[in-house]
Amino acid sequence: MVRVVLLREEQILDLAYEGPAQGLLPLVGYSVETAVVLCNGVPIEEEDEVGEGDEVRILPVVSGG
Amino acid sequence: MQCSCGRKAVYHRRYSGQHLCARCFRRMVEKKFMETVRSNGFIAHTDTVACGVSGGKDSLVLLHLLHGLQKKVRFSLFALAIDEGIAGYRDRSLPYVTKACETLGVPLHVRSFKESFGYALDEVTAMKERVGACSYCGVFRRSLLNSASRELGATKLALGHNLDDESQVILMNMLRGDFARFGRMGTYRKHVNDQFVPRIKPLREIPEKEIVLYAVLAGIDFDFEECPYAPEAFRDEVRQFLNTTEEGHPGTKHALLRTYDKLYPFLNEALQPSVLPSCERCGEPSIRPLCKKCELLDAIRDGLARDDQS
Ligand SMILES: [Zn+2]
Ligand SMILES: [Zn+2]
Repeated sequence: MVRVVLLREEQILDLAYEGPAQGLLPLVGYSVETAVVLCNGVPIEEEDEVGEGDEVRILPVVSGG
Repeated sequence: MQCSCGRKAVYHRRYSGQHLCARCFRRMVEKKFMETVRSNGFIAHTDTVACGVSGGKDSLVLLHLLHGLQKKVRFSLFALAIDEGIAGYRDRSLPYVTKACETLGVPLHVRSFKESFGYALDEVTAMKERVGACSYCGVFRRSLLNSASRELGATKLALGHNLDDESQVILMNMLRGDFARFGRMGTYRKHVNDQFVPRIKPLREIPEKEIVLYAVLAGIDFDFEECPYAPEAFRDEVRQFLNTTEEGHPGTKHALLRTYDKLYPFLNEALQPSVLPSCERCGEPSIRPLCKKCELLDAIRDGLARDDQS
């Protein structure tokens, strides 16, 4: 399970996912252009793998100026 | 992937094909900011710069970068926040501004719609007959940013518009056929009105995503809420189109801005008035005899009076 923390939505989801972070984004309503991804507290590239035991935080790119 | 310096990359900059580590990423953003400031002649050491701040990522990253630039160029800097009077939103984001200004040691001034115009935005939008919240807000904010900057002695007004904001507005004005507004998006190239504080946008070439990542890496705490007033639907559609296109064709947003910048001298020549007149009532710069702010204030007064009668 990957724990996905959606910061804007204030939601936590546990998803059965193993693979590059960019594959996870559309599952939670985001894309490479609309999200900054942190894995276990550190920013990662969307091509980086996430999987079992990881905590992935999704920061929305679009917000007030 | 690895950064060219050997560290682990945290950012894939698709439009240039680079993989950047945290350190190289921050340097790249700072360099881009510096280049934009330098190539446009945005800031001289004689300037006093007012930085418009909201508590959101763009304006706080801008404040941070301007503060850093002061080590190289000895200009004066202060922060200017506008309290529109949006309960549950602005009262939440202003503490981020206060904290950032305290940390950096930058003086902060706050001006409110209520004190300056007599109405908070929430009061205006409670009226029965009204135009969209963003129309009032945009007009009042622009007017107040200009008058307050001037009164506080600023010679430049720095705004946090990023590449996404800029490319969206370029495309929106084109799609609407709003040629006049399309031609007024750049910086004024010559002096047009003593009351007008020239605006600079040092983040205009930096994508919104890079601003968010920069804020995270620089430890800048910001409010990532969106304004509770529904944004324009058209802007959302344009944003989605640009994001989808950028994903398939990295560099699209930059290309759009570059095209605009190449057109701008011609647009400017054709469209910019040699003198920008002042509003007959309030004295603020205005193309028409009565400025948009004064016009809206009249409409609000009439609208609220009608609401009282009914
Ligand atoms: Zn590096
Ligand atoms: Zn006026």
